[in-house]
Amino acid sequence: MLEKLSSNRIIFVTGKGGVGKSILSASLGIAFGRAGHRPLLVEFFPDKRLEHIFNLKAETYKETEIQKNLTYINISPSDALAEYIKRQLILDVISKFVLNTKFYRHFSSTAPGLKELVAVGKLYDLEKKRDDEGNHLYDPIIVDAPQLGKFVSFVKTPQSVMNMFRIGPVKKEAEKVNRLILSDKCSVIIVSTPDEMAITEALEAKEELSAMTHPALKTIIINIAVSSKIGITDTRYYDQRLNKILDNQTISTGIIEVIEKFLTYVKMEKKAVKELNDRVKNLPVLMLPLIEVDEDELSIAESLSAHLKSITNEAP
Amino acid sequence: MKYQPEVIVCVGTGGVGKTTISSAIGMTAALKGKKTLVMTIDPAKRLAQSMGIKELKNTPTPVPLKALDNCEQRMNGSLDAMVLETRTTFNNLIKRYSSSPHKADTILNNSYYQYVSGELAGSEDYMAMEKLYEIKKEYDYDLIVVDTPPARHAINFLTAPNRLTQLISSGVLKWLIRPSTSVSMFGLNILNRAPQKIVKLLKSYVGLEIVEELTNFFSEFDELYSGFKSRAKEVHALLSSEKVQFYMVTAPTQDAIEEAIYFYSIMKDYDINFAGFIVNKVHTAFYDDALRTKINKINKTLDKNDPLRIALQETLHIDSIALHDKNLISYLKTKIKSQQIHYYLTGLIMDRELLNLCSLAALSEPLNGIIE
Repeated sequence: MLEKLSSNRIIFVTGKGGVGKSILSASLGIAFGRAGHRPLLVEFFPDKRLEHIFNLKAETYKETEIQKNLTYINISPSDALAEYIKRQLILDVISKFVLNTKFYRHFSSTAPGLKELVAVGKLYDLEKKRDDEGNHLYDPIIVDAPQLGKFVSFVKTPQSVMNMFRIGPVKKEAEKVNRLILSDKCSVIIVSTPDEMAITEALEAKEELSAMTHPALKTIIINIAVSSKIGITDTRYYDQRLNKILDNQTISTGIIEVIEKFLTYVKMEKKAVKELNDRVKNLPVLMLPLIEVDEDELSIAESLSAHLKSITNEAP
Repeated sequence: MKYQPEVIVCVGTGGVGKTTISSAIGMTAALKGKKTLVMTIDPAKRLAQSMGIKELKNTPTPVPLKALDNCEQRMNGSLDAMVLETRTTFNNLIKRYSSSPHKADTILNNSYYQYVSGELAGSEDYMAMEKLYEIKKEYDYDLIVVDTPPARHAINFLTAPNRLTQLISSGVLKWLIRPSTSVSMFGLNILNRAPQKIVKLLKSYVGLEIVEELTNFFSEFDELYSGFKSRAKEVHALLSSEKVQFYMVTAPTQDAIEEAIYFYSIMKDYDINFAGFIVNKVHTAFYDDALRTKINKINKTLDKNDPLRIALQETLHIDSIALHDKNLISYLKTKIKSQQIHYYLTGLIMDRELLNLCSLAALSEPLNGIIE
C-alpha cells in the first residue's frame, strides 16, 4: 500500500474531526521513513497536533529532521506571507520597512486569501526542493490537512484567490500553486472511524472530490476498527468455550455479557464497513486496528505505522 | 431556583460531537414541554435525517413528531430545527442596512464582499450570532439551542464578531479610500511624502483590480457601518445577558481536553454566562480489576490465534479506553476546580448505533439537569 501511495508527491490526509487524522498522518510519515523514503510531514499553524505527537518544541516554519529520514514543518501563514513579500520586493531594505509597518499588519489580515494562498504555496517550494544529486529532497510530502467540511475549500484556495485577483503577480502565484494542487502529483486519503456518521461524511466528501478529478482520492482508511479480527459472531460459541474453561458461573456470565455487547458492536461495524465497500467500489478501504490507549500518542503512531507497512506486504 | 436559560450556546472543538449534543439538549427541552429550536451549523445531512427531515433549511422547520411514535418518551413541547447559511444571512444583513436596493446590489456583487461573506474566517461565527439575534426577535421560542461552527479553538467563536467589525472599521480601509490624508497613522512616516508610491507598490504586487475592489467595497460599506455597529452591540448585549448560557462540549481526547482547559482559562475575560462542561464520548469500563486479571489468566492458556482469545483481548483493549478516559477527566477536574461537569455518556466504541429521533431522546436523558 505504501508503494502505491508513494506514486504521488503530495498526500493530503483529511477526515471528520476526532477520527485520528493527525495520528494517522504521523504514522504514515514514520512508515515511509522506515521504508527508506524521505517523507516530509506538514501541518499548518496554529495547528500543533503533530508537534504534540512527536513531543517537539518546534520552531515554526523551519524544516526539522525529527526521526531518521523523517522531516517535519509547521507552516505559518504569516511567515509564508512575509517570505512571499520579501521575494516580491527584491530590495530587502524596502521589504523590511514594509513588513514593520502597521499598514502591512492591517493589510495582511485584510487581503483576501493571500495568507492562505502563500501557506498552501509553500508546498510548491517544498515539492521543488532537490538534493545535490538532483533527487527529490522530500518524497512524499504528507499534509495533515484541514478536516472534512473545510478540506475542499482548502484545496480550492488558489482558485478562489484567482477569482479575486484577475491580474497581477498574485494571480500568477495562485495559478502556479493551483496547477500543482490540482495535478496528479497530489492525492487524498480520507480517514474515518467505522461508524455510520463518519462514513456518511467520508462518502459525501468522496462525491465532492470526484467532481474535481484532481487531487484524486486514493484510499479511505478506517481507523479504530475491531471487527476485522473477529470471525465468529455467534455468542453461543464463546458461551460454550467459557463454560468449559471456567468453573465459576458468575464470572462466566459476567464475561459473556461483555462479549455479547462486543459482538453486537462488531456486527454493526461489519455492516457499516460492508456498506462502505459496496459504495466505493474500486477504491481500496484499509482497516487499522484499535491500539491499546494507555500508551502515549507516539507509540500509537508507531504501532499504526507497523500495520500500514504490513498492509504493503500483504498487497497483491 | 436556577435561572432558566432562553438560549443555550454549545461551543467546542471539532469532533467532540457538538451537533449531536446540541440536538440532544433541544430534545430534552422539547420532551419537557418547551417550544424549542435547534440551530446547527453542521452541513452534514446525517443529523437532519436522524430527525426525520430531508434537508435542513435556513429557516426553522418542524421536526416531524411521528418519528417519535415508537419511542418510550412522549413529546410535550415542540422541536424545530434549522441550519445556518452564512452567506444568506450576511446578504440579508447588507440588504437591511443599505439605503437603496441598488446600493445593496453593488456590495453584494463586489468580489471582496463575496470573499468576506463566504470564506473569511470568522464570518460563520459572526453570522451564527446574527441569526440567533434575528430568530430571538422574530419568534417566541422558550429555548433556542445553538450549535457553533467547528473550530480548532473554541474561543474563536467569541472573538470572531469583534475581529470582523474591527477589520471593517480599521484604519487601513480609510487609508485605501483616502490615501493622501492618513498615511502617518500606519507608521509610514518616512514615506509620508509619497503615499502614492505605496499604493503603486501595493498595486504592483497585489494586482490593481483587487485594490480597486477593496476600495469600492469599503467606501460603499462606510454608509452601512453605523448600522452594523449598533447591531453588533445589540447582539453582544444578548450574548452577555443572563438569558444566554454557554456550555463547553468536550471529549476525553488529549487535544479536546487541553482545548477545554484553555477555553476555561480565558473565558473569564469575556462577558459570558458559562454554565459548565459537557464531556461527551466517555466510555464506561466493562470489567473490574478482578475480572480483568481473570481474563488475562485465561488468555495465557489459549493459543494466539484462538478466536476466544482474540475476542477477549479486544474487549480488554476497549476497556483500556475507559481507564484512559477516566484519567483525562480527572486531569480536567484538577484544572477547572469547582466548575460543574455534566457527564454525558455515549461510549464511542460500543454504542455507535443508528442515530434516530428515539436514540436522540434516549441520549438526552443524562442532560435532564440542564433544563428544568
